[in-house]
Amino acid sequence: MEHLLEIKNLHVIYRGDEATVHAVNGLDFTLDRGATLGLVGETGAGKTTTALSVMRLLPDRIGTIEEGQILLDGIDITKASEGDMRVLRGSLVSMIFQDPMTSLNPTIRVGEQVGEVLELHRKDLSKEEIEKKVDEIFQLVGLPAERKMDYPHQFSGGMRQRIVIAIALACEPKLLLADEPTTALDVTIQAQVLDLMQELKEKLNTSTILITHDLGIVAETCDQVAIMYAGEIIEIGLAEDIFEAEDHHPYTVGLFGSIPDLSKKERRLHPIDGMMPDPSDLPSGCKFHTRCPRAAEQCSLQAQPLYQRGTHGIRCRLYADWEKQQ
Amino acid sequence: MENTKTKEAGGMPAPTKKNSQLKTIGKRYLKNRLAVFGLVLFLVLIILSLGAGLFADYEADAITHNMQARLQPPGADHLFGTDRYGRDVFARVLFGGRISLLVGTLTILISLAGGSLIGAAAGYYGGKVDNILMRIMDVFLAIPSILLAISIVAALGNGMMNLMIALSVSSVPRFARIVRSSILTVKGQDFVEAARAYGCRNRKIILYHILPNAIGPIIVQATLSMANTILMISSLSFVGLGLPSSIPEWGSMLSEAKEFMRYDPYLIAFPGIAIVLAVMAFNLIGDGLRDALDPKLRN
Amino acid sequence: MATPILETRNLTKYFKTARGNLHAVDDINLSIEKGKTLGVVGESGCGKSTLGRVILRLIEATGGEILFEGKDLRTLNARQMEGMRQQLQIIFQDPFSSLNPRLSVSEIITDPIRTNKLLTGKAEIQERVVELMHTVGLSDRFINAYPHELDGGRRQRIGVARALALNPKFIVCDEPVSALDVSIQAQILNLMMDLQEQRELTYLFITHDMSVVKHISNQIMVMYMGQCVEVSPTEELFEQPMHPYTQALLSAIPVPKLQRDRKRRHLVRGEVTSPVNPLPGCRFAARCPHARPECTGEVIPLTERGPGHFVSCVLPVR
Repeated sequence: MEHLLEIKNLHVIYRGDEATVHAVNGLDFTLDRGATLGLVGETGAGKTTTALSVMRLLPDRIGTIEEGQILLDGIDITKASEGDMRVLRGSLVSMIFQDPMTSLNPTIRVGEQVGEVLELHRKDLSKEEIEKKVDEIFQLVGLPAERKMDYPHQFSGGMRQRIVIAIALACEPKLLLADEPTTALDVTIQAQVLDLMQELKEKLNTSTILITHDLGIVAETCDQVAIMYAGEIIEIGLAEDIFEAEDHHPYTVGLFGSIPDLSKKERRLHPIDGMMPDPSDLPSGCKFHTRCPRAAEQCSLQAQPLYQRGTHGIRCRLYADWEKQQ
Repeated sequence: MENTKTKEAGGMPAPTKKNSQLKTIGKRYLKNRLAVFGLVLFLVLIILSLGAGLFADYEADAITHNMQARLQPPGADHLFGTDRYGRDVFARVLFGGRISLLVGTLTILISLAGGSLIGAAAGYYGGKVDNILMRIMDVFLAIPSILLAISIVAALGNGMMNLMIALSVSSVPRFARIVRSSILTVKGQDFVEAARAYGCRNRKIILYHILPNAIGPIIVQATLSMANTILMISSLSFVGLGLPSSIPEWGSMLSEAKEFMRYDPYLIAFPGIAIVLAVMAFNLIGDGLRDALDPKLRN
Repeated sequence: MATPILETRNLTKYFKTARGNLHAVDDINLSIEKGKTLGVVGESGCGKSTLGRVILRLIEATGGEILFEGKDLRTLNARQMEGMRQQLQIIFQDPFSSLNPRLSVSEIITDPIRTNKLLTGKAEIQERVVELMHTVGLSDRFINAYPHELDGGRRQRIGVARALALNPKFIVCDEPVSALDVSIQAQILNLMMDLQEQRELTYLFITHDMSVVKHISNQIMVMYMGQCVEVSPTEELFEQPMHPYTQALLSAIPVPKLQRDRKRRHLVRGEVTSPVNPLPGCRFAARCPHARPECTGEVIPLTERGPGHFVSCVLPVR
């Protein structure tokens, strides 16, 4: 069992009053122990839904896993009971959210919030041991231990995100899901938090799924990258495959073209035309064909499998000569 | 220019052509079944009380004492029975509706207008204006509203007009508070700043940009106050400061029937049901209006 | 050198707080030529948004001058200012709170036209609205849509159309693309650059994103705790950033390229505090890796280190 996480053919839908939203449509990927996977995509690509499915925190009654398997450390998450999940969350897998303001309880001292996780999952520890552990964790995320008696509002944004990370890593989970952990932070603070996450990952050997829309952050922190569009992975590979290889999905090309390049003098950007399709009414065939500059007639008719060459996979007819998956 | 134009990706239907704003709001309201029910209920109550003369005679049935027929249970002669003076409860409930519904509705409208004005000014201008207006409102709020109403009626004298003034004055502060706080949340949004940036005057910003966005909680407060107002009328009548007790009115009928609750519960039931129905109609209409006025809730 | 369309002289805005005066905008001198873009960068709380609003007199300044085409806006009375507002517009960051949810697209774009009585006939106004929608790349089938029915990119286009409705000369762009997805961000940036070319618009472009600002600006001003620490032509700033804060900002940007032998970033310690009753001297000194005794105690003026490149730092050029 070399993979920590294995997602097979995952389908997730949200049932609304008027329409059913197909948020994730047949997702497959594996994550090795100790590796960091960057899950990249724009709003509505299904990144957060994927993470919430692994946490089994999809909104009650509205969001359901329709199909597929999520094997985390050999356990099928989709079949686990709510009671099992409560034990797994925090000890095996935890999640960091984008907004450090709302993910902390404003009325509880931060030290207690970190301690609470330990109390829940480490029944073997005594009160004093937990206190000691909280101090250690504070040190680990670069906060002075004496500040554990303070309330969240007494901290700045960057320090709050450190506390959130402290809570997530308190029980040394094997998998950390980080959903845009630095998007709400200023760039110099973002750099500090990213460095901290990198350091902790090496120390604790945690596997990470980093959800972001920022390819720059991915290039700096991830070993593997999966690019999502309309609930599917349209390109996946090692960081080298995504950032240095010549072959790419047209959407990936568009994403890179949209980023202002600091090293080039060119003024015009090359964005992707149009908008993300409505996830309750997805186009037929390849879901990107409505915006794709290289679309041909067959693209609207037939959905494409992932074509694989070595570690690099692309879901596009242009690479049909590569090895077909499944 | 070509390349800045976007191809519109499929999926989003073009919104239908808009008629007039009022028409769309009306249409949206009519789609809401409960709201329509509320409106129908309200209209039925209005028609029944306005057309009360068709079913009964005001003087003979609702005012004149008829001691031979006192405290008769509901039956064929008297649909809702008679009260302790032998007056027909059915007739009194019908005629009473005129006053309860009229005074109630007008009072709410007056205090809504007054409260919105004061609250909007306080919330929008802030600073000194806010402080002065809201401290005055606080003074009013500090006095129990019933006492306030009593003292106003006592000062102005009995009568329907004075009753409405008293009730309005005592509920204005509550409206002002709610309007002010909803104005404050809307005021901070960028579109208000945008309107200032293109030269909108304050009055227009308040009326066109801010108030319509703050309407939800205001309407809810208005419909909830309705019940309160009907009961206030009765309390005032009860202490002899509203309308003379001979004049039929739901609230005073209720308080009169209290003593007979044990043996003649129908006396309290009928005006009670009438009040409940009126309040329910108002609440449903209020909810419907709030939703119809909000384009976000449109299907 | 061409005469600037907009200049500020010693512009300041202090907010009174319980702990003292918060120097949100402190002694800012800037000048923008017609048809050019000045980028203002800095982290949250550095006063860049306040600066934009103070220039438009949406917030009243505490002191200084705002010269628009040579006229000091601060000397105008309310009526005169109303007349000027047509020429000075603003585009906001949040495409959700910047549009009135109760108004349809056409009502949103029409309101500035009606308010300023630019056009009066119903048909004329309608025609103008459609024209503006096309200008910003919006299909006119959305004319009766409400903002919540549209996605972020389209909403931001409406915000641009509303600003353009009055044919302004100068637009404050307050993080206009920060809330958008990258592919949409690029569409809006391209649109704004096209409009600038066609209409000789002048932008004050406020952002925290160094790569966006590089792309669109001719000149960049870096703000830190209410003050300007460095101002320079764009190319020059990226080639030779001189203030340690600018260097830190630049090195903190994640670059979408793999760098195996990545050089260590200039990580700065600590975080921004708010400039309440600040002492004279460099406000960055507490976080600065090169801080020395002379950094504090005295006001450090902006000095010219190259053509048009001003820096407020005691360090010699390296």
